[in-house]
Parts: sequence; C-alpha cells; structure tokens
Amino acid sequence: MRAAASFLWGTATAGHQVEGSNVAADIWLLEQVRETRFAVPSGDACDSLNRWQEDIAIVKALGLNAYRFSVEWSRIEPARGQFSRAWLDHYARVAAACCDAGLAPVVTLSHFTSPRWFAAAGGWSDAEAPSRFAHFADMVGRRLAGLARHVVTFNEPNLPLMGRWAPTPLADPVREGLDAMLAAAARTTGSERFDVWVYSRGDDADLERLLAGHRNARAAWKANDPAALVGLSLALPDAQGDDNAIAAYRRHAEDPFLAAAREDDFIGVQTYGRLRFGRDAVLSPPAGAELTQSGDEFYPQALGASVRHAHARTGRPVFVTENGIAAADDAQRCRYLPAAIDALDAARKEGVPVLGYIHWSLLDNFEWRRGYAQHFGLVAVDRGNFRRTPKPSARLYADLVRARS
Amino acid sequence: MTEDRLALDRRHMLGLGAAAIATVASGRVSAASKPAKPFLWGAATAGHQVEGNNVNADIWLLEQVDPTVFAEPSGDACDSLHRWREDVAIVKALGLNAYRFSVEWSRIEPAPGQFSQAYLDHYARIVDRCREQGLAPVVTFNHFTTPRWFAAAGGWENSDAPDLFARYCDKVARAMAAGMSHALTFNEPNLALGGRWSASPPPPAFMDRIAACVAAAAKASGSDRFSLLNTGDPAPMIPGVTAAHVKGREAIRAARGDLPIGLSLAIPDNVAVVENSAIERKRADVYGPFFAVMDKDDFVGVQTYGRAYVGAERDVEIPADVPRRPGGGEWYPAAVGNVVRYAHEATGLPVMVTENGIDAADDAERERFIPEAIASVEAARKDGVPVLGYIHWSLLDNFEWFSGYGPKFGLVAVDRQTFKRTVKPSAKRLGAIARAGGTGAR
Repeated sequence: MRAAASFLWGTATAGHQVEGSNVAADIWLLEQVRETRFAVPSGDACDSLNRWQEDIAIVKALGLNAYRFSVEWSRIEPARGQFSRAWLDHYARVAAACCDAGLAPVVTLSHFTSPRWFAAAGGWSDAEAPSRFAHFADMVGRRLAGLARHVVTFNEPNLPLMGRWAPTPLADPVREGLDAMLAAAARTTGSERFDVWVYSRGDDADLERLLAGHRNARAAWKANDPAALVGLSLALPDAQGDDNAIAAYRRHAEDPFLAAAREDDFIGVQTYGRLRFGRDAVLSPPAGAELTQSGDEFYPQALGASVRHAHARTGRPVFVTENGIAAADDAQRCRYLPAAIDALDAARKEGVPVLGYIHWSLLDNFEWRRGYAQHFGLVAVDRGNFRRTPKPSARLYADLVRARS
Repeated sequence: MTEDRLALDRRHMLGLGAAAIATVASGRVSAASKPAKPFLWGAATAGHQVEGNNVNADIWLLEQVDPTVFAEPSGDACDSLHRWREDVAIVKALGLNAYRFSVEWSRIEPAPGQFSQAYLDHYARIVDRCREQGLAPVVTFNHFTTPRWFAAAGGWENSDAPDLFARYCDKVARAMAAGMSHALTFNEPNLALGGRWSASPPPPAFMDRIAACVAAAAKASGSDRFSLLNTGDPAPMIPGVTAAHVKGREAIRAARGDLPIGLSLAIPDNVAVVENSAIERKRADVYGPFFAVMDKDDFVGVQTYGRAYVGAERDVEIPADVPRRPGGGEWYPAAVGNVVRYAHEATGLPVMVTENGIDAADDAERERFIPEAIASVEAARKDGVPVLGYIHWSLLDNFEWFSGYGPKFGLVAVDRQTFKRTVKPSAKRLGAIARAGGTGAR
C-alpha cells in the first residue's frame, strides 16, 4: 500500500515564459510579426534553459515539495513527427533533478504554446490535431513516466472562451488586433491558417478537438504510467454577480472542461481574483478597490470559492496549479499569500479534497502580451544578467508552508 | 563540407553562372615579430553539424521543406548543445591543444537586431572552458548557416548583409574575443565557386531540385527569396561575403586588436594536367576574390581533402594510375602540405590548417591518413612556410550536410540514439603525434 501522498506545496513556471529563445514555438513567431500585439518579444526570458538547476535549488531552499514546469512541445517535436531525444532527455533531467531535490515534478504538456508547424497546419482546426497531441504526450510519457506523477495536459484552455457569453465578446479592436497578428503569422509561414488556441476565437468544433486531444493525451500518459494523476487546469475566477450572466459565462468557459474533468484524476484550479458580472458585461472593480499591478482587483479570498466550485462540479480532487498576483510592490504579494492560503485552508477544512497548492510564479517572467512588466514572481530576475533574487514573499511563503507541514 | 570531401556533395553543391575572374592579391604583410606561439594541434566541429535542433537556421529549414536535397534532417545532431563539455574534455584527453568550433548566428541573433545574451553566454562558456583546459579556442563566426531571417531577406545578396554580419561579429567579439585564440570570419565561403570547376557537374535534374527546395523555403518563410551559399549561383553572393569579411574583421579587431583573424578556404591540391591547364584561371576565380580582401588578415585557413586535376577548361577525372582508396577515390594524404605551400605563396600570410580529414568508415584508413598528412605539413614548415597549426576535421562523426549522417569524418564515433561518444584509434594516433610535437618523420 502506498503511503498517503502528502499535500504538495509548490511554485510554477512555464517553458515559453522562462526558458528563452523558444524559436520554434507558434507564440515566438507571433511576437515577431509586424502586426504583433506583444509589448516586447520573449527573447532570453529568464534563461531557465541554462539555469533550471538554479531554479530547482531555489524551490528546494524554500522548503517546498513540488515544482510545476512545462515541457515545450516545439522543442520536443520541432518538425512534425520528428522527436528530439536530446530535448526529451533535457526535460527528464529536469524532472529527475526535482526528484533528487525532494520535489514532486508537476508537468504541464501544453502551456499555451505549440509548435510552429502545428499552428501553421491550422492548430486545433486540423482534424489530426488530437492524435498529434496524443503522440507528443506519449513520447513525453515514455521518457518522464516514473519521474513525474502529476500531469496537466492543458493550461487554461478555457481562456479564449471567457468572453464568449457576452454580446460583445472582446472589445472589437482587441479581437481585430489578434486576428491581424494571426494572419501575419500565416503569411510569414506560407500557411492558410495559423491558429494559436489562446488567441483564437475559440470555435466550438476546435474545442471538441482540443478536448479529444486532452482525453487522448491522458490515455497515452496512463498507458505509460497507470498510477499517474492526470488532469487539466482551468482559469477559474470567483464568479460573482448576475446569476444569468454567470450561468451563461460558465456554459461557455467552464462547463465543457468541467464535464471532461469528471473522468480525470483532478481538476486544476487557477485563480487570481474575482470576476463581477453585470447582466451583459464583466464589471470593473468597485470604486476605491485595491488594485494589483495588472489592474485587477486585489481579492485573494477568491481561491476558496473557486476550489469549492471546481470540486462541486466535477467530484474530483482539486489541485491549485496556479494562484498569485502581479505586484510591483512585493509587500502586496506578502498580504495576498496568507489571505489566499487561509481561504484554501477553510475549504479543505470543510472537506474539499485538495492535492496541493502551487503558487504562480517562481520567477518574474514573460507574461505573454504584457511582456516583462507584470511581476508575479516570488523571485526577481535581473533582465541583464538573469540573476535571481528571492523576494520577501518567497520567505513568507516558505514560512506559511512550514507552519502547515 | 569541403570541395573535395565527397563526390556527391562536390557535385551537388555546385554553384551556377559564369565565372567572375578576379585578380589575386599580390600585396604581402610582414608579420610583426612576436614570441613564438606553440603549434596548434586540434580537432574541429561546426555548430549546425553537432549541436542539434538548430531550428532557426536557414539550412534547418531546407532540410524540412518538400522537396529537400538533404538525405535526412539534422535532428539532434550530436547533442553537443548539451554535451559540449564532454567534447572539450575529449579534445583535452587526447592530448591536443586546440579546439575549433563555430558560434551559431541564428541562436545569437534569432531575430534581426535581437541578440541573445543567453547564447552569447553559452558560447563564452565554451571559450572559457577551453582555456581552463589549456586548449586554444579557434572560433568560426560563420560555418555555412545563417539565420532564417537573413536568408529570407536575400542572404549575402542583400546590400545590408555586410553590416548585418559586422553587427553580429561585434556582439560575439565583445562577449568572448578576449578568450579566443584565433577567429575565422567564414568557413569555406568559396565552396560553391570551386564546385563550378568540378569534373562531374550535377545533372540538371538535381539543380532543379535544389531550386525547388530553396523556393519551398522561401514560401515557408513568407518571402519571395531565400538565399544562401551553396544552394544557388554564388557569383552575386561573393561580393557580399567578401565585404562582410572585411567589415566583420574590423568589428572583431575593434573589440580585440591583437586577436589573429582570418578566413578559411576550401583548397584542394590543384595540379595542372595539360600544358594549357586552366589552373591559374581557376585559382583566380575560386580563391582570388578572397585573397583580395585578406591583405589585413593575420592568417589564411586552408581546408584540404584531396587533389584536383585541372584540365584546359575545368577539373578532369583523376588519372588511372594514382594510388586508390578502397572506394575508388585517390589516396593522397600529402595534398594538404602542397596546399599549405600554395596558400602561403599566394597570400604571404601564415597558414593554419583549419580542416583536413577523410571520410572513412574504416578508421584504420584514417589512422594511416593522419601521419602522412601531417608529415606533408611538417615538410612545408621545414621549408620555411609559417604554419600555425593543424586542425583535423572532425572531432565527431556528424551531420555532413546534404549527405546526412552517412559520411564518417570523426575521430570519435557518436551513437545516433544515445549520443555516446567513442574515441577511435585514429584519435589516439593524432593525440600521440600532438604530444610528441610531430610525426618525427625526416
């Protein structure tokens, strides 16, 4: 009989956001086209491609017992059907180093990026997409099964659907800008349709294929390691306000995924705050509310409601795979962390099964279209020499974890 | 890859177009007298051929498009991106004192003007590691590959090319020239020019296939062009390359004034076989444009893989009565000594053998080759030719361009599945010569 798994306390990164020079990825190209909507290109990111051992050492030094990272599909399969043993070996070394450091590796298979060739073939609009993704998952599983027990197939695949419930899904200029960026990438690759799910319109048929990809990848991984725990993670803000609007929102942005998650081993929850719904639109933060660096409301207690909701809708254990705050002043993060973890404690006390809590993020990193301006990290990274400097919040988080272990 | 290394490649890497006749530089520079540096005994690699997953390079794309002229894609190559410390350690353990490698432009500048400090740091670590091990780092700035964006913008035919190359050289030099032993701006930029003199030009069908391959790469880049050396008419590219050499050299020198700089040329031992041989015309065509811009270089790199018999119009087939290798090619390891003499005579510069080797599945052949080749270089030195070093191609069995992983030039075998390195007897032979300071031949 296996000993009851201990609660996982961890911190997270994602390949494209920290590794640097992820040049075969679809989003790298989106950063480069003239019609880009990215503030800056990702460039060297945090150079974690070379400094991953240092990253793991920091997580270990904080006294945590889990590290979530993603494997980059575009490195592992730089051309369709051509798998790189060298990069599989690389990620196996990362996972093994986690194990050696007493950290449970939590592996994300798809953290927004996919290979350029996959996007240029139409992304999830391509009928072959689910089997392509499953093939990739199988190759990773063959190499990492036995090292990594926790697997997240997709990171926040519900993001492009979060606006679909409302009459005007995204402000038109934003949508048009994304479309222009994708069209430019299509021209640059000589393809008819360059599709990157997170910036797409979230077509229903594509969603079906993505969910099939999830199921296929889960099966592929479990064929390599039946004891693995596989799920997907959703962006799950604490939805408050107009009941009809919330129902409509969830019908689009949550329900298809929560239904799929009922067959999973856990449901990954990623919560940063609350969303307040009016009848037809998401409302701005209340007047006078404290804001974070990203302009969102400071609302750490959101995590409790999201965790309860995810469990209630799926019946599955919950894994908080991301929770955090963009904070220019680390003192704000130092207030956020205990409040969020208190909210999680309360939900656990009520009996909600929770596998772990993983803070986003280990490092200040490349926050997609907003570039390097959003500081989610427990650790600061010098943009000139990549030097890591743990912030007071890292120490505080370590203390919160130690008090609960 | 060199002009004479592989019949297949020599035929297939031909350039097109009319020969541009250039004059050979006659100017000579007298080297300032400095304390004698130790003779360099080394082994060479090149980024794209050993690193693996060089996905942002022009040639990586050519390997992937349909149709392609590559036997197979480079894939993980020898995984030297991760195993470079092991490579350096092998060079050291063999008893050599130099390691030649190249820095990959497409990694250092993945998008125009966007330089990767991370990859500059990476290559600087290799330079530093060589120094820690007592190895002289001989660094090639351009070993055939350029970034995809560069090729898609017209490559060396783009009027900005020399400045773009110089900007890249500046970044590299500032990051790591302090530790370098010697710098090579270009590796065999004359290869395609030499191919035009080949005794057996490629069939038109193959040239069509190259053109289609390049066209497919242009389409995959959303461009109306995709230009790189060795896959098209070299004539319009050479002025860009020679100008880039001059500007690149200036940029490197500005960062470190006393670093010896040169470029390496593919030069077979050219032999006139008829009275009205075109040998001088060939030399003017294939080496002349480069010699003309090397007047301020510190040395000339030569890369020799055999002999070429020059007839009245072009190279001709090798004579029937020469000693042969098992596969039918000529056995003539001493070619490199003759080329060393020629290159010095033509330029007045000290010579470095930056490549010399043999594609031999049977390593015993390489074992015989190495001492004979080195002896020919030693004979030239004895006659007063200044030679800086002998660098064997290659440290590793690697990705030999169009031919993929078929050819075996390595002193060290590499398992294609595990990347495990296995030192061959020929490597030990070279190491023993290096340790002894020469072959001891009289």
